[in-house]
Amino acid sequence: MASGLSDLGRFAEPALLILVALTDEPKHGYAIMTDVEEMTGSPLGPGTLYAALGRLERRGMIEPMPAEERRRPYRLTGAGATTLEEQLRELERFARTGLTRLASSRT
Amino acid sequence: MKLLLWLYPAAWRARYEDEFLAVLEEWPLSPFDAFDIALGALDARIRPRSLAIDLAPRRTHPMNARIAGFAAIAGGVLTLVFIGLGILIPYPNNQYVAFLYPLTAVALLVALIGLSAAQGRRRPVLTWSAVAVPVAALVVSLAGMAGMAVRGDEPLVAGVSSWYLWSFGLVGLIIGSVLFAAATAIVGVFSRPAALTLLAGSALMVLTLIPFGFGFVGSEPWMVPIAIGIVLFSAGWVWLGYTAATRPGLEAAAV
Repeated sequence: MASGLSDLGRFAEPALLILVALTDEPKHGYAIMTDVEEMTGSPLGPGTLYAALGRLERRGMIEPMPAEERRRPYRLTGAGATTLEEQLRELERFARTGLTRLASSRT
Repeated sequence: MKLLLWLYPAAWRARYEDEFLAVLEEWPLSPFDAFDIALGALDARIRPRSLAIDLAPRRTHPMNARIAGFAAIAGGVLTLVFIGLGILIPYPNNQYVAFLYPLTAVALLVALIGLSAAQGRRRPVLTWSAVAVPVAALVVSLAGMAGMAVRGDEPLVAGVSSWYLWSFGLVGLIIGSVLFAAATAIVGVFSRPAALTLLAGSALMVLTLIPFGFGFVGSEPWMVPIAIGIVLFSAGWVWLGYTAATRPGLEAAAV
């Protein structure tokens, strides 16, 4: 993980998944959970979701929007988008390095 | 499963409870989720500074909630004294007790508006819809009381005497208190047990004191439930007032 989310400890990975879930449009809690489950195949627990949402909101990476009925959507901020891009590029470099080494070992 | 939310700090619940419950209603919960929620609550308690809201205990809170709290305490005590003395002191000496009513009504009016202002920031439509009835009823009853002082038994409005105006206002207050207490219990900014106590007292008064007051039933078998209703009504107001006057962290309800 890059430095942007690394200080979130065990919530770094859920936070990254939430940021990705919010890239296309603002989403409320349930929509984030279903989106994450579709992306990863694993559910994100409600306690983990809100612990990560609170941390992302405190760091200004996401912001709450006015509640619709009882659901409150969250959206990605500019800072959140920047952090997410850095995280994904770092993961891309890591994946490329890993794949290159794997390919070398097989030749 | 909703009980698990009580593991979270009050300020966290004030900020997230509604949306969290909305998620729980849609998401099929597993034992893993229950464990996950419990861990989330533990995290909110041991690492409050990592979250978006300030969960640290606050030493101050809105003055309107404090004033409304003291008004609710006064209103609860005065209600007990007013109705109690009215029943215990034989007619016609109990007429002097009527002077306590304007004080009681004004105290409850301040309490209703002040408490609703605090919890209305969280659920405005529900809060203000529920409080409209008791507030209107209090105003009507005060107008009736003023009419009695000025014009005695003469008809005041459209052939309706001041006494009837006062009585209908009082009935409206009791019925309106049921609505206000139910809304307060649902919103959850103030003590739910206190709101439920007020709800039980108000509902019991609707079922017993109102039929008794209008002469639909005799007095003997009704005195015990009437007395219980009055005591619960008063205790509910005092308890609600105490929590509003002393409880910190109400600002979180405004988020």
